[in-house]
Amino acid sequence: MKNINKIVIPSLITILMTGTIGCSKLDDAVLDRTDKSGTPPELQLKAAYQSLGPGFTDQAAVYALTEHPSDEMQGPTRGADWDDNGRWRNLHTHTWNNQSDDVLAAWNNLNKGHALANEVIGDARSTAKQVAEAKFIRAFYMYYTTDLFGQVAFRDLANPGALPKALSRKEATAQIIADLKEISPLLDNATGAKTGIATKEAAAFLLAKTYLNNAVFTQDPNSPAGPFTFAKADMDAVVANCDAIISSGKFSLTSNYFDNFHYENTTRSKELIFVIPNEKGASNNNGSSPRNRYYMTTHYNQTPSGWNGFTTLADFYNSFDKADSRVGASIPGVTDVKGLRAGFLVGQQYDGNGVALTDRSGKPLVFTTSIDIKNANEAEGVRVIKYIPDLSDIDSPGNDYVFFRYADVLLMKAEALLRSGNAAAALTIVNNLRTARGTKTLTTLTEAELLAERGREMYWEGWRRNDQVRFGTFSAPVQNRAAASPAYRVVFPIPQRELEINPNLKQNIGY
Amino acid sequence: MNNHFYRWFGRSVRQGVASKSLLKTALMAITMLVSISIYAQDKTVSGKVTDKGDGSGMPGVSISVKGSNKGTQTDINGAYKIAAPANATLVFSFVGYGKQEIAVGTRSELNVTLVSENKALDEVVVVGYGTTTRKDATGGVTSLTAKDFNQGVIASPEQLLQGRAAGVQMTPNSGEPGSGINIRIRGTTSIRSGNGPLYVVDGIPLDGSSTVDGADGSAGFGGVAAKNPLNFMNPSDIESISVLKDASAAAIYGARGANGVVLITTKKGKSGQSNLNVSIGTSIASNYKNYDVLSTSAFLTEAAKAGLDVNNKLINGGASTNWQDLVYRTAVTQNYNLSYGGGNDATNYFFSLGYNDQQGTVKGTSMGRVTARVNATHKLFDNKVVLAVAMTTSQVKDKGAATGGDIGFEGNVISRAIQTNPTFPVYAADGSFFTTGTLSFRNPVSLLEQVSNTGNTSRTLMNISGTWNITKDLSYKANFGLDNSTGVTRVAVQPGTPGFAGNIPGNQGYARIANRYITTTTIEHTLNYKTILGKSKIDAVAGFSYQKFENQGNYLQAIYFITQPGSGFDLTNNVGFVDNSNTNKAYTAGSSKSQNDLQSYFGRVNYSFNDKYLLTGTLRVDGSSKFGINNKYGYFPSVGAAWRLSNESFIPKEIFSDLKLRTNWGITGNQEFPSNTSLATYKPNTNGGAAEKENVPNGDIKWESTTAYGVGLDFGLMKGRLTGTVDYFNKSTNNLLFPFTAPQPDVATTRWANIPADIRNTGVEFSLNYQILAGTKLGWDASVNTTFLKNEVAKLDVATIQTGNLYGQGLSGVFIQPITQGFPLYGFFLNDFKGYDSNGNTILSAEKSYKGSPFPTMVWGLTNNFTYGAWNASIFINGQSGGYIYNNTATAVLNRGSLKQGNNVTPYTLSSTTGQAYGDAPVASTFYLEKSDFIRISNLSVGYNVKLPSNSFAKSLNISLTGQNLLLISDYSGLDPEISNPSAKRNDVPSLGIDYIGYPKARTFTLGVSANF
Repeated sequence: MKNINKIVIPSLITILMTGTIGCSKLDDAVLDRTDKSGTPPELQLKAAYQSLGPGFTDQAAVYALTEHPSDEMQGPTRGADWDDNGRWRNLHTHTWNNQSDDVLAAWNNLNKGHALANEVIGDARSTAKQVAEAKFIRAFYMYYTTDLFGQVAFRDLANPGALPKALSRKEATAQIIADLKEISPLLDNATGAKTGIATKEAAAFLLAKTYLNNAVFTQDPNSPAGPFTFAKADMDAVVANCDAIISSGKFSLTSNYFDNFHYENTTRSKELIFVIPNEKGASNNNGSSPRNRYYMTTHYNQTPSGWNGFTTLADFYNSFDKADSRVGASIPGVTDVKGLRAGFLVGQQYDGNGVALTDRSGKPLVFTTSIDIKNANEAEGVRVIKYIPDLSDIDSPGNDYVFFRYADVLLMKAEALLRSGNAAAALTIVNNLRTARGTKTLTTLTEAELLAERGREMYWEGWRRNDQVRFGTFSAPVQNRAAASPAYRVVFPIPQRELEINPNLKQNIGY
Repeated sequence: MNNHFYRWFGRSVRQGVASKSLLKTALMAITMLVSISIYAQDKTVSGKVTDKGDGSGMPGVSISVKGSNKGTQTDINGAYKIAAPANATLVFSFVGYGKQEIAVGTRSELNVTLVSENKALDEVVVVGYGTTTRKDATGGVTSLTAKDFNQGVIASPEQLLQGRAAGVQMTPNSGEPGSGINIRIRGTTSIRSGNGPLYVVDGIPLDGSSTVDGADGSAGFGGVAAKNPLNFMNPSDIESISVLKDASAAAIYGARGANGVVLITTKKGKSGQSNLNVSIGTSIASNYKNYDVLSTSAFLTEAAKAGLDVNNKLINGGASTNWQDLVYRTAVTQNYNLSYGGGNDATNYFFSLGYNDQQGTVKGTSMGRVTARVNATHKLFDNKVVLAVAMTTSQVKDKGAATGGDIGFEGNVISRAIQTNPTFPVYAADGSFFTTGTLSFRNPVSLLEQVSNTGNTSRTLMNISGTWNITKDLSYKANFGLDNSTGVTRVAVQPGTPGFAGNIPGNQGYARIANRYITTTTIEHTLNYKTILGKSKIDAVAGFSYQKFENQGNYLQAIYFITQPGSGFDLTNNVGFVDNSNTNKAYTAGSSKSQNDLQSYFGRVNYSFNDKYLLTGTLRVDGSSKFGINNKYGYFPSVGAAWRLSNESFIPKEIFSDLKLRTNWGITGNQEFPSNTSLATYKPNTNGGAAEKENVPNGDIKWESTTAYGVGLDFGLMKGRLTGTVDYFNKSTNNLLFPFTAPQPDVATTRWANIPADIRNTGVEFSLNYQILAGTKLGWDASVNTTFLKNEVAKLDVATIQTGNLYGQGLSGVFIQPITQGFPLYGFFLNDFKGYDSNGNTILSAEKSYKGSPFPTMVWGLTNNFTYGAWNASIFINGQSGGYIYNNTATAVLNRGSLKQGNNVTPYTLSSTTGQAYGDAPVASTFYLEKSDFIRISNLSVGYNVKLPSNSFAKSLNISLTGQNLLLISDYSGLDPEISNPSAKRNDVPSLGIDYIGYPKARTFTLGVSANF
């Protein structure tokens, strides 16, 4: 036994210890993802484009900030439903704060897209064209950031780890303009198709938009709501950029207004300059489906069965001439099948067989113009359908989600002309548009008339807050917001958490 | 004649057979029987029993005549008198003292001295990487064995000690079989990292993750919280559980010790006594309480009052349906265990087989488990080498229903059973499930039958160790462990299920199959040195440990099924039956894999001098692959000291049988954050054919650290009949792991960082055990444990962190538990409810303010054990006070506005909201915040040891009846104040104390039979 001890035990111990004591280097292995070397710039550029989907098509965040505070949208509380801690009401009544959900979400969405573009711009492997497209995307995000938040956090890509500096609204605007001018020669010309990528025309549109708002963006932050002085040079630049788009010959007004938002708008519309190109069956998974645009407004018992949420305001609805084609239309393949019309939904609603719909308690489903924002019933409020649902795939339809549209080019040009004293030329443009939309022409054009016309053409497309600020009506009382709001509300506050982490940012005046 | 005799007799017979001396044994037995029952001629024996220690007379000592049921007790002076047969043997016994058996012979006076054994103090306590005894322990350790465990339906090991250990609080996520449990040892220390303790089974630390993926919410029936990962262990296999509560005990587990450590020791075979145990249990359970919703007629009356048109068929469907009766049931649980253990001087072995089928009270839900276990040790080479192997293998099958709390406004089984209009029928005239036509309407019975959710986990945990006793004092141990689990989750929603049109494209069915594989490999080497040098005792351990955790998964999700509804077709078995043509993308798939390594060095020295002064020092160095490159290794020291005052001459022994003062200090860590947080990683966007950077890396990321100190006192009075422990603790957690705001613009809004903060948990724990009666006939002992706890976010140099997400219609983005400096974690911040205005609208205070904490300030448990002859009984009552619970169910489901929408409510909903308008939105306020105080009779068990005939081949037979959750005394208006919706989190910041349509808790009765052979 003693002998066995001498042989067996050491062998046993050796066996147990073999290979077990070697020290691990504790490498943090990346197994189900990749590193930068596995991610070429073209994939990252694609990702930067795709960030537009989740960033803009949700009913909350950026979209909510661009619409709810305006005179064309509100989110009423309906009994137990849609109170959400006053989230939507606070936007409409201009009582948001620096911790509001949508303020934070919009800031984050815009900055994420900005950062994804930065990844391409700062990548030494990127081609000049890829950098140019990424700079367009960054300019797009910066435009929204400076418009909504009045300043932009901006990274020095030579030193990307450093704390971002804060560009003032004026500095950010200058950066946007400089970038767009720099990249324009490198971009493709518009072809009328492939509207989901940056083109010279898309860059021209964004330049026109920036120049149009330059007076707002360079305004003294102590009096952010104006009055504004629109420089002749800026207005000329708006006209020049609009003319560049018009003269490309690739765009024209679409005869049937709602074709611009139809699930076949890729082919039906001639107005699309920059969009999120959606394909049936795929888009929802990318978060770019326009489905929220109908779900957020339709009643449960309509098809699509929605969330019975947002409505327009009676005054806004009443600003339409009822002959205007933009006020509503029946859509073949939808209205005759499930009853849903396009445009404004008022009064009794029907199914595809013309049978009157009821609400959930069995009462007739009649949408009313009057609405109590704090305590609405199921049927109160006029609903709005712009994007036409594809009944064969309601969640993942093929509607391209529209950012830049030709009609807006015409209206921007008209506005620039009006603001530089050429009212007659502006009136012609507006009347041409009105004629195309099947409504009577105007005899004179005032700023108020032009703002109203922008509303009638561009409603629920995410421009109304921007337009109202520029036209100086943003703070004015509207239905369910009886008092004028303070001037500082024309920009949103920087989220509290961001101020804590980046001392370069200073809270906007008034907050 | 009591059954001890039979047991002794039976054993004698068997041992007799083994030693081939049957005849002798039988003769002896016969002689005794004859002597007792035929020739019994009693005489009186008297005397005095004294304590060997101080010579004083001992009152209350039991004296019995061996082999009979005669007995008496000593009087106040220790004197006794008993009538006994001439050849009798008297048995003298007293708790904490050695038993004496003395043959009377011809004597009529018999004086006896009993020697204090202080057995309890010599009880072995399992600590990390070794054992100690109660008297030598310096740290805060609670050790429980089978006699302290909860009885009845026990789904997983930690439920054995629910309520029984001071400082350990458990809150179940729900009443679902196998659901997760929130376990907090001495408070909640972390905001975002895990707060559960580290589990160590027979020395192998477990990976705490679950292999049954919680279903994601994408199909619209709510996320299903992951199951309790400890479900794989059969509670019957457990010998003891030690809870390491303070830093001096837990620091040996370093970066994983901050939330305490639970050491589970499984049963082993005992040398010289083979035992075959068969136990069978059957339980029935039903919901302790259901919501007493309005009856059909009352509903119609109230609906009319609310202005609804009761002639409309959407308000009055003409039927009368009790929806809760249709979704709940009386659940039956069956439990079978078979074990065999034994051994000799060289070999010990233990085998067990367990089968458990636990039904839930929601129809169709269950947890089934089959386990097999082997434990064996063998000594070689004159006991120089000890080889040990232990293995558990198990299969757990979970069947769930759509009961998760992460649910949209359409509702889950629970909420729909409460609120669905009682006038609606289950089925429409054509036999299909009834629906109102509103696309979001969900029929509770359809939800049960058309949504399926099953999980299946196979897990094997094994370890092999070799110990080499190099010298008398020095030994070396190598331990190799492998923990392998595979889980499959299968979820399906049948095509056309009412209420899913908004969630599933085309409402054409949904199936998801998710597989997960988790492997943990452990290699450990330890050296133990134990010696006595004069008055000094040294017990030291040094070791190296390496663990590798691998976690991989994959899933396949299918939509656009082409089968017809109602065909009884299992979608998860047939994911090929989809339309994958054209632009329909029927399939989604994904895969994941992560790995992390933990490499550690540790040592501990226990030094005791003269059995009076005890000192323990430990150090663990943990290195993890997850830690940032700049912080690869963390150091976790601790010290503990104790002074056994009872061994000092100035402490009177007649008062204190034990008195020990303890103090401890140490640092422990928490390292629960994902792999790869220190590296820039890029993820694909499969549907877009793109890839993007996904995170903001942090090269400095490291563990969260908790510095704790405490003092404690252990005492024994009345010769050990009354023992107790008092502990004060103070824990401070810093460097909190949190995905904190990343400066924008960046690709992610947050990045993992150690944020400057201080979470403070302070408290006092008491536990007291009192042997009230210690007679052989009637025994009664009681124990009580109480914990007073205060939790505070002492420092948080960042903006409040939101959590406490309310669920339900109109409650999106409502967070009621902002984590705020100066207040407890998960403190409720709410507007005051100030009644209703003349229009019936709620009036709230202008500002939100702190209204209470979900943590009770006091938690207690009281156990009483009785024995009376062959009977035994145990009652366990526990309770808590000083905490609050938020009734999210009332805010979201049982509110007045819901009635106006045609949903059912309870009479209490209406009576408590008198004056509220039907259209007034239910907003979060103090109206829904209630006290979570309760007293519960949690466990009541009565057992009987059946008297077996002398020729029985069984050693013992025990029958028991156990009731669980028998009585709940609480003012809470919901079902149960001790519950928490795990989904009420924000950005994965956990929450606590929010009750939302949880799976109800049951009251359970179990009849058990256990036999030993």
